[in-house]
Order: sequence, then C-alpha cells, then structure tokens
Amino acid sequence: MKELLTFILLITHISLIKAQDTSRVLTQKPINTLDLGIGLGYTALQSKIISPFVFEGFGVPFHLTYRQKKRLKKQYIQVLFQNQALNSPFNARMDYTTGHLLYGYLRQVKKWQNGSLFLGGEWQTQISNRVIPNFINAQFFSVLHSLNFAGQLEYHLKKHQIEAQVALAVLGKRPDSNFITTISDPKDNAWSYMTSGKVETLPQYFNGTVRLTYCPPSRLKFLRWRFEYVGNYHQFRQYNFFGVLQHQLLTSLTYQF
Amino acid sequence: MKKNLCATLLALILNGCSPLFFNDPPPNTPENVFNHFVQQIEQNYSGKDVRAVNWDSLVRVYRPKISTQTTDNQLIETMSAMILPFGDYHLTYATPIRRYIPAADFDFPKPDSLPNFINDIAVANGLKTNLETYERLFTYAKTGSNIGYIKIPTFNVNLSPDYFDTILEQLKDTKGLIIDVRQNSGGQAGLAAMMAGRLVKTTEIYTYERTKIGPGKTDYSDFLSFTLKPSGEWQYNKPIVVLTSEYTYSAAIAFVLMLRTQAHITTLGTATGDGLTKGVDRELPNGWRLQVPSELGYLPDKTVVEGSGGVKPKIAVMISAKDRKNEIDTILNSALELLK
Repeated sequence: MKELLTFILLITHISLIKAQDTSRVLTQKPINTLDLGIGLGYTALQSKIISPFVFEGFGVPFHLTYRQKKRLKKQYIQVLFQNQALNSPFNARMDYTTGHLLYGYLRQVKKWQNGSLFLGGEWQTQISNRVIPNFINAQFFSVLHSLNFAGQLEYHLKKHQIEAQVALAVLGKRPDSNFITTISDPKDNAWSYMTSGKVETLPQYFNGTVRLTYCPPSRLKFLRWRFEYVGNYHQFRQYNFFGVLQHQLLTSLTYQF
Repeated sequence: MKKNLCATLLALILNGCSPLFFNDPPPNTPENVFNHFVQQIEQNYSGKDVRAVNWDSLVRVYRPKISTQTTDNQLIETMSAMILPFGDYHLTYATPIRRYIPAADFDFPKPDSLPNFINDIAVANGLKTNLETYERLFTYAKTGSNIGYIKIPTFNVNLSPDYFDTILEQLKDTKGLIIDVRQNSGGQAGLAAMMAGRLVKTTEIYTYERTKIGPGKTDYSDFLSFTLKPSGEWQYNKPIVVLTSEYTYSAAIAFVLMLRTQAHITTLGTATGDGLTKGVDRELPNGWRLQVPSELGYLPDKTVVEGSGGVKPKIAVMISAKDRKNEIDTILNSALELLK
C-alpha cells in the first residue's frame, strides 16, 4: 500500500512538473507575422491532351502570408498568385494563371540546441486557368485540392534563421473527373467545385513541394526580410498525362505584430 | 543581349531536371504524328462514341500506309480520309499549308449554294427593296405586309449583340419576324444566348451537355443543363419563324435550341447539322493542330444531337431542285406564308 502511495505521489509530482511546464508554454505570447512578397517564377507544363510538348516560361508571383508561431506549433495561411506566358517549341503561346490558398499546421516534435523539427499537414487549393489564344476553344479552368503531409527543419545561427520544408500530397482531388480533358466541366454552383470529383493518391496523383527559407537578422524588431525558394511539382498520370513544375524565388517583407 | 543570355542560361539550368518530370515529346516523324492523331481520336473524341463509323477498321486500313517516307501531303490526305466519314465539322485540323474543313467534302449544300436570292413572294412583300445590311454582318428588312426579316450569318466574336438590339428596335412594330440562320455555321454560344434572350418569353432548359471523363464509350460526366431566360429591356413576343438548314451548325444549333422551347417560335426548313458541342484545338508532334470535340450535346428530352442527323424543324420544307434552278427560296416563301 505504501509503495502504491509513493508511486501515485511520484506520478502526480511528475504530472505537476509537466503541467507547470505546459502552462508556461501555453501562456507564451504567439508571434504573428504578415509577409508581403514578390518574386520570379519559372513554370514548365506538359498536358498531353493539348500537346506532346512542354510549355515553359517565366512569371512574377505575388503572395500574402500570415504566420503564427508558438513555441510548439506553427500555423500559416498563404494566398499566392502568378501569371505567366509559356511557350512550346512550335511557338504556341499559353497564358497560364495560377493561384493557391494554403493552410498549414506544424507541431514541434524534436528540439536541438539551434534547431527544431516540425511535422504536420497542409490543405492546399490550387486554381489554374490556361488559354492558348491561337488554338480554337483551348481554355481550361481547373481546381485542385490537396491534403499534404509536411515536415520542416528550423535552424537558428545567431540571429539568422533557416527553414527547410517538404510537403507531399497524401490525397488529391479535382472537381472534374481525373481524366484530364481540354474542357473544364462547368458547375451548377460554386460549392460543386468542393464536393464533386474523385479523390486520388499515388501513383495516379503526385504533388510535392520543397521550401527553403532564409531570414537574415534585422535591426528592426517588427520588420525583416524573408528570402524563399519554392519548388513544386504535381502530376496526374492516367491516360492523358498532366504535369506542372514550378520554381519560385520569393522576396518578402515580414511585419511582426 | 546579356539579359537574353542570362534568361537562356536560367532556363537551361531549370530545364535540366525536366526529363525527370515530363515525358519526352515523340520525335517529329510521320508515324508519330499519325499515332498521336489516332490516340487523340480514340481517347478523347466524343463523336466516335455516337457516330456510326468503324474507326478501328479505318485505322487498320490506313496505318500500314504511313512510313518514314510519307510526305506532308500524303499525311494530310490520310487524315482527311479518316476524318471525313464522321461528317463532323468540328473534327478538323490545321497545317501551315491549309486548314482542313471537312464540310467542304460533305454531301450537303455548301454555304455558297444556299439560297441567297430573294424570291417572288419576298419581292411582292417588299423584302428586296427594303433589304439593308448592318455593320456588313446582318441583313434585315421589313416587308410590305409588315413582317420583319433578320439574317444572322455568324455568331463569331466580331458580332456585337448591340447590333441585333438596334435592328430589333427597328422591327419592334412588325406583326411577325423571320430569323434566318441557314448559313450560320456558329461561333460563340454566349453571343447566341444574348440575342436569343431578346426573343423568348419564358425561362427554359434548352440543352444538356456531357463531357468525356474516360476513354470508354460510356465514360461521360453527368448531364449539365443550360437554361435561357428572357433578357434586355423588352422581348419580341409576336410570332417568330426560325429558318434552318444543314449548314446551321455549332453555336447556331444552340441558338435554334434556345428558341425552339418557346410556343410563339416555329422552326422551319431542313434539319440542322449535328455538331453542337465545341471542338478544341490540340497540337500534334509536328506542330499541326487537330481539333477534336470531347462533349456531347442533348435536346431537352436528353436525345443526343451529335450523330443524330441534326435538330429537325417543326415544319420541314425543302427546296426542290426545280425551285433551286429557278432561284425560288421555298423555305423563305413558306415562312412568309405562315406569318401572313
């Protein structure tokens, strides 16, 4: 009995220590930041239903990102827009407009002296519209939803901050069928873009993103620069292969509040 | 120069990993062009599923004729011969030499041979003397017996719905209206809807569409309905006769479908063409463009239009060979008689 009492006291003591620790963490004030960024983007696109060739070109991406960081968790919401003119070897020009809404949630799972490992997930809704002006009726609007697994390494060297993040799609869904067509299937109402379609995963659907970020030290506490490389590749394989590779170099001004 | 060099270098670096992500385009050989052409039609052409054409047999006949020695002209002849049996104006291709128009080989009256003459009855009604053109596109008139006539030759992007509104305003007080779309091979369905909206009384579903969602014969999306409602400041609610012919095609068929739902509108003439849904251009490995439709269009009762012989008019009237020879537009005459 005495041993049991000692054990219960010991467990309670450990729990209290943890609780105190957790309480300190929970009461830590979150750091909120807002990034406004611009950059240079490169896109290569192959949609075999429209052409056997790869269309390539450059564009200027813009983004607005809200981030919230507590000691153990990170959340972010990003709206990104990019418009670019892509060309194929036979000089067919494609106007390709893309945008995405991204929500991510990461939780710290390991911590070292200068770095941390975060794991979590992302929800991404990508919209794109492609038009080949010289081709008759070659306009295609597409929406793609993705549920991604994400992992991030955060590293601090003095006041420099470096992040390396990888996100891989677990599931993907297009409101149209996953048979890639040249014609977007118009919906009776906007909600149908969320509900219709078929959920796909590997190997038919792949979506991977790599983000490398560098934030240099800043003299101002509330304002700093953020330099970012984003590489994304997504594809649907079945019947009419469709793949898009994007590289983006982004420069953002980050306002902390 | 420096800027271009940097951009080229950057593209080369970025493109270096492309083979990992993309399929190499097939080399530009006659066999590859032919195979790509066949694959596009097999997987993505909706007409193949409803038109009575034995595609496999066509491929069996023509594939052995293609080799590395095949010239562009021979390839053009082969593709034309394979496309022609479908009788689909939307299944076509364009080369730097020419755009192939299957309609030119179809066995129905060419647009040029359709009646462009004004017949005796029309003359007696004053149609000929009153005939005017608007913006070189519309032809319109008011007959002596107060019947309006508007010929809409196209729904292409050069046409403004304002032109139609202006003409309609001038024909507002007529006792009936003839809309002639016999030589209209289509254009923008949106434009057709803007004009049709001025002529309808009630909101109706006029067509359904289904899109290909797989290579199989039955792999299609659900029916998607299209509705037209009255538009503009006022609508022309008096009797209307819409003249149709085999050359009425694409968006012009959609226009006829929009109007034929209405009790005060009668379609008259011969059946329209049977290509309602749009064709979409794609690229072949030699840079030629192939236009293939991937949708099927339906009447409100869900009867498919493609491959059906067209939308039949409520009153069927043909121009006999004798009348054609004598330049008598029997169809227009019948419309004038109906509205008299």
